[in-house]
Amino acid sequence: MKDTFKKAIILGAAAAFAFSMAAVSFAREGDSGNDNSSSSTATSSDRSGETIRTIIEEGRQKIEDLKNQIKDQRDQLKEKFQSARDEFKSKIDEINQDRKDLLTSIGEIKKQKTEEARNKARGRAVEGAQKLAGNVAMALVNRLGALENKLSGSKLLDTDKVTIKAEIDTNINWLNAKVIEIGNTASTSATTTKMQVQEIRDYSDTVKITVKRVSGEILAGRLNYIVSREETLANTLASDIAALKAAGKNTVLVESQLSDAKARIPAVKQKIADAMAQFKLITSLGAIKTNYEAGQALVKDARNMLDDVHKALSRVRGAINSLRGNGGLDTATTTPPVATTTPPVATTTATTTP
Amino acid sequence: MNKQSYLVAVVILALVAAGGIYWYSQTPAYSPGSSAAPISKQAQKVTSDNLAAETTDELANFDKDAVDLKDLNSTANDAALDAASNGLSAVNNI
Repeated sequence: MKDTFKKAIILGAAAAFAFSMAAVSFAREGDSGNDNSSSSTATSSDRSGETIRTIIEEGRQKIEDLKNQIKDQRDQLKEKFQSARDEFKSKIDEINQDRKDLLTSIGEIKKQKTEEARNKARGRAVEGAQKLAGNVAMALVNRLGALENKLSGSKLLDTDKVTIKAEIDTNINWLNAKVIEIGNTASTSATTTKMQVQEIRDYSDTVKITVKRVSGEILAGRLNYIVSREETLANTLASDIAALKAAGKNTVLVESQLSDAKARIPAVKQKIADAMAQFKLITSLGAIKTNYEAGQALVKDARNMLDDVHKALSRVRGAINSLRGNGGLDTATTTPPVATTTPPVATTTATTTP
Repeated sequence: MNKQSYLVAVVILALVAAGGIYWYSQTPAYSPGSSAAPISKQAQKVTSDNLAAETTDELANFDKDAVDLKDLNSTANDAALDAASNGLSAVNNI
């Protein structure tokens, strides 16, 4: 009897040991980096944790590489934009001088006493007009080129980018062809030059309309993209709060803060939609004054409101980190973010090609 | 083994199991500040931190675009082009 009782106690102790090891291993959710237990269950957890860390580290590296690639592309676009913008400004300086020269040479015609001298002066004036018209066209090409670079790096839908780029390219091609045409026109062809100059003047208005409309759409598109990022952040924070709640933390205050931050988003979206609508209405010179300026004001409002949303969400993030008892990022265990694909902004483009 | 021995073994097992379950239920899902925190929890936290940082970058990118486009659409540039266009109209006086 005594022997049997002893056996029962040994059996019970063995079962208790096995049970407690399983419970410990399970409770640590696979993390046993600091656990030097020799039990087979814990060793398996060590391996599984190590594998997950390796995968996470590789993912993090890939994301870093991707970020660097994006940064390089952004830098290249920035350089191209600056180059086109600088050329545009340089052309502006040139056309300011060309305009003065043209007016002077036209004034010279009347001062001539003989018809022959007047014809020579007319030729010089025509050449001046051709030079000015050519430089105006080139300035417009540079302005459109700078805009095209901004479009490439924008957050508009790819299909919209293609449509707008086609519109810009049509404008650039027309202007380039006109520059060549003017260059091939003789200085004696005053009538042809007058026609070409008028075409350039009309086209200048078309380009102005395109540049204003597309500039506005690029800005509104970027704001829309940021709003979608804020929404993703808000959803992630909601998941974080749910996890803390499940762990028994008091999340009442932080839930209220998140709710307040999320409630601000619809108004920002409306502002951006209104701005985009204003920009799309820019189809005439008159609309530039009204719709472009109205759109700009709405963009400014939306940007300020977005700042408030971002600050509100940052406060929620800070509160979550406080609830975790860890003031911020645990740099020793940095892991990659979940890849998020945010849909770009849909736009429909009103073409203003002549 | 007799019936009494089995009973003792079952009682010990039940006590240990109950203790294990109680201990697991009381263990926080994430131990604050511990390097042994569950990986999924760490990933979750860093994800929101990274998302926030990336969104801050996007706000800065917007501001850069706004400055560049404002420059491209500046009143001075528009005025110069308008003046050039008006200057070109003088060609009719040739």
